[in-house]
Amino acid sequence: MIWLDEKLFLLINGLAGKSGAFDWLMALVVGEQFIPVAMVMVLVAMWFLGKDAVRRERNQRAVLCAILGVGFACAAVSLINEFFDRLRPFEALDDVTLLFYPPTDPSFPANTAAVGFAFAMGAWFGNRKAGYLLFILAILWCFARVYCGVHYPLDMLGGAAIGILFSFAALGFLRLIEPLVTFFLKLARIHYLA
Amino acid sequence: MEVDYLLFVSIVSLGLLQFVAAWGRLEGISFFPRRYLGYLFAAVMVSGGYCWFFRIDRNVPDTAGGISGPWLFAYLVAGLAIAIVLTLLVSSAVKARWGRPDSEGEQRGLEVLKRMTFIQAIIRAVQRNS
Repeated sequence: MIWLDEKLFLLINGLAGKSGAFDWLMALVVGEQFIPVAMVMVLVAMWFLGKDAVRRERNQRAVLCAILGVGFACAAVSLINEFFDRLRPFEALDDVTLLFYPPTDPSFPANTAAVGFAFAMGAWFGNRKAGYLLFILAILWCFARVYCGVHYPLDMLGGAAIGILFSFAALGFLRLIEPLVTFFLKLARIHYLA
Repeated sequence: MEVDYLLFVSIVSLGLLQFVAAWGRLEGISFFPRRYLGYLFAAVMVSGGYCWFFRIDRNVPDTAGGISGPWLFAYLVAGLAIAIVLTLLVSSAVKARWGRPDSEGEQRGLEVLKRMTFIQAIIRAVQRNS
C-alpha cells in the first residue's frame, strides 16, 4: 500500500517542472488562500440564494453543516497528528520537486483534504450543484498538494475520508440540536440576514 | 500579508454579494439600478481581487511572515463581516429613496430585501414594534 502510494506520488510529482505554466497554476492553487476563499464564497452565495424560502433555508442549513463539519474535521486531524507522524514526501524520498514551502506538521492525514471535502460534503447535503462544484475545487486542491510535493495521495484519501465522515457527524449533531439551529436561523431572519 | 488578506477577502466578498443581489433579485442590497451592472461589478471585484492579491507569491510559511491557519480563519470571517456591513450600509445609502416600505405583504427575512433596503426594513420593524 505504502509502496503504491509512493509510486503514485512520484508519478504525479514527476510532472512538476515540465511545464512552467502548469507549475505556476498549481503553485497558485496549492496554498491556503486561493481555493479556501473560493469555497467560502460558494457557501456565502448558497446562504443568500435559493429559488424560494424553503430552498434557501435548506441551503443555509447545509452551510451550517459545512462549517461545523470543517471544525470537526480539523479537530480530528489535529488529534490524529498527535499519535501518527508520517514524514512528508520531500523529507522521506529523493528526487522530489517541491513547489511549495516545506510544512513542518505530519503528512498524514492531509488537513487540506479534510477541510475541502468537509466543505463540499456539507454543501452537497443541501444543494447538489454547489456540492459538486466544491468537490471539484477540493479535488483540484488535493491534486495540487501532491503535484507540488507536499503530500502523498494516501494523505489526501485519508483527509477526504475524515472530511466526509465528519460532515455526516456534523449533520447528525445539527439534527440533535435542531431547536438551537432553528432559533439561530429565526434570529438571522428577524435581522434580514437569512 | 494580514492586511492584504483582509482586503482581498473584503473585495471578493463585496463583489460576490453584488452578484448574489443581482442573481437573487435582492434589490435592497444592490448598489445599482440595473442587474447587469451588479454582474459587471461582481466580475471586476472578484477577478480584480484575485489578480491583485496573487500578483506576488503568497505561499509563505507563518514562521516567515505568512498567516497561520487560525488567523486565516479569523481574517476570513472579519473580511466577510466588513463586506456584509459595507453592502448593507452602501446599498441603504444609494437607494434611500427607492424602497417600498409601506407595500403590502408579510414577507420575512431576506425576501424583505427585494422590496426595501436593510435600513428601511429595520426602521419599519422598529416602527411596527413601538
